[in-house]
Amino acid sequence: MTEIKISQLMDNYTDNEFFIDEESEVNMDKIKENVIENVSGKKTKIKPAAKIMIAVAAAAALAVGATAAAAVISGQLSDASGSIYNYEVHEDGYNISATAGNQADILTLEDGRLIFRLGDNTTDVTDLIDNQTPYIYAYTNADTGRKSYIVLGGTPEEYCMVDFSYLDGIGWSGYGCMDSIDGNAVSADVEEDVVRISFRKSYVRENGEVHPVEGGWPYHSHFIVFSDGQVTSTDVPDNWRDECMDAWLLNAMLSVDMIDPALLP
Amino acid sequence: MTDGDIVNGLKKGKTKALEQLIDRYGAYVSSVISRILRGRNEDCRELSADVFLAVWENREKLRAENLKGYLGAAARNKAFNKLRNEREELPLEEDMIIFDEGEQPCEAVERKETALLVNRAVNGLEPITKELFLRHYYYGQSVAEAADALGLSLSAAKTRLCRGRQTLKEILLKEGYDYGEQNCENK
Repeated sequence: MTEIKISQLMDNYTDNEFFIDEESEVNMDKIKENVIENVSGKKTKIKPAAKIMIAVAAAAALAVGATAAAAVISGQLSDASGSIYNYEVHEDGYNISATAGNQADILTLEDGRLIFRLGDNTTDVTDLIDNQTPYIYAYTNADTGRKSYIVLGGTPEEYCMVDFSYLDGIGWSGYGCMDSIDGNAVSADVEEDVVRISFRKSYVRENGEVHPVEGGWPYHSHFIVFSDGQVTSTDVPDNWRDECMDAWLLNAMLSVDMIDPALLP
Repeated sequence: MTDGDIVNGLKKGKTKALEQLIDRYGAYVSSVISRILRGRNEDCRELSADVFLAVWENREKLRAENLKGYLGAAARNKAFNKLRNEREELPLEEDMIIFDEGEQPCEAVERKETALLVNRAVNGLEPITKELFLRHYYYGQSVAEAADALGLSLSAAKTRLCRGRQTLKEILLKEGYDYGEQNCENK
């Protein structure tokens, strides 16, 4: 005689109907932490918005460094969501620290739809944007009183948000780009399209191709700072790029002059 | 965010999608495991993490349809396998089908065929018996717990379980297997 356990036979069953659920005393936060550490090789991730502002602060430091003696720069920045970032750039221009406040989601994916929320504004932008069509929202930065712009583009599978605001004493700059799933980098194609269509296109039309200074990087691949309309570019130290940010983040330190007026609201 | 969004994110290798998967289904997965392991919290934590690590490893094959059921089955099987490896058993009611000598056991059947067979057999049960059967043999609830959840007396639940076992065996028999006689009197 052969015996087979019913409970073993049930290994082949999948319940898609009852989902018998009860309270569990297990701490899910610990499980999540454990799992994420395992799959990500225990990398510590900086929040995207924090990284964005690190890049902005770093850009400021390098831009200033080109015309003035190296000096410690510190200050406080805010973005459209009301998040506050404290930054500090040390004398060597490399060591940046930044702390992010409450980071709000401006563009979120909800039931397959892309929802843009800022202040009283709530707009379903799913059908208003794609990789070639940006949605541009103008707002006034509460700190500087200067006009700022949020540019949205992409698709529910991969979307992009760019937030330009004024950086005291430096000029217009700022950048954010995230995708629909993890808030990190979108693919280069989407990012390039959204940024290029809404910004670079008009700039290049007006000013021609941007050429980096000697020792710099091609503007489309790495680091460039536009300060007060004067194009400056500089190399990025390797330790910086590795530790602080991804190459995509360095891709768009842009002057407001690059915004295509025809696209502005 | 839909299950489809999460699965797409996983397939792209996004760890944030894995976090969202855990946020959405972690409690369910740990609940399934915890019930079977009967409060062994450390093991429950470890196996719950194993379920999601396995999902990550196999994310290319993942499908958004029935995602919760898939996770539940993975959790349930990991917990039962843990007990089996430790030679422990849940006190399940008549947890055995007996085949006569000379008959091939179901284990010899291709896994996919066995899955179809078992699904057909379980889905052939009348609804309340099916839920009772699954609560007991799939989720590991005691007969008393399952009976209580369904508002049945203990003896009625045992009778229904016995009928469920008979139906399962009948399906297996139709597929060419034999089995021993069983007494369905209440015990």
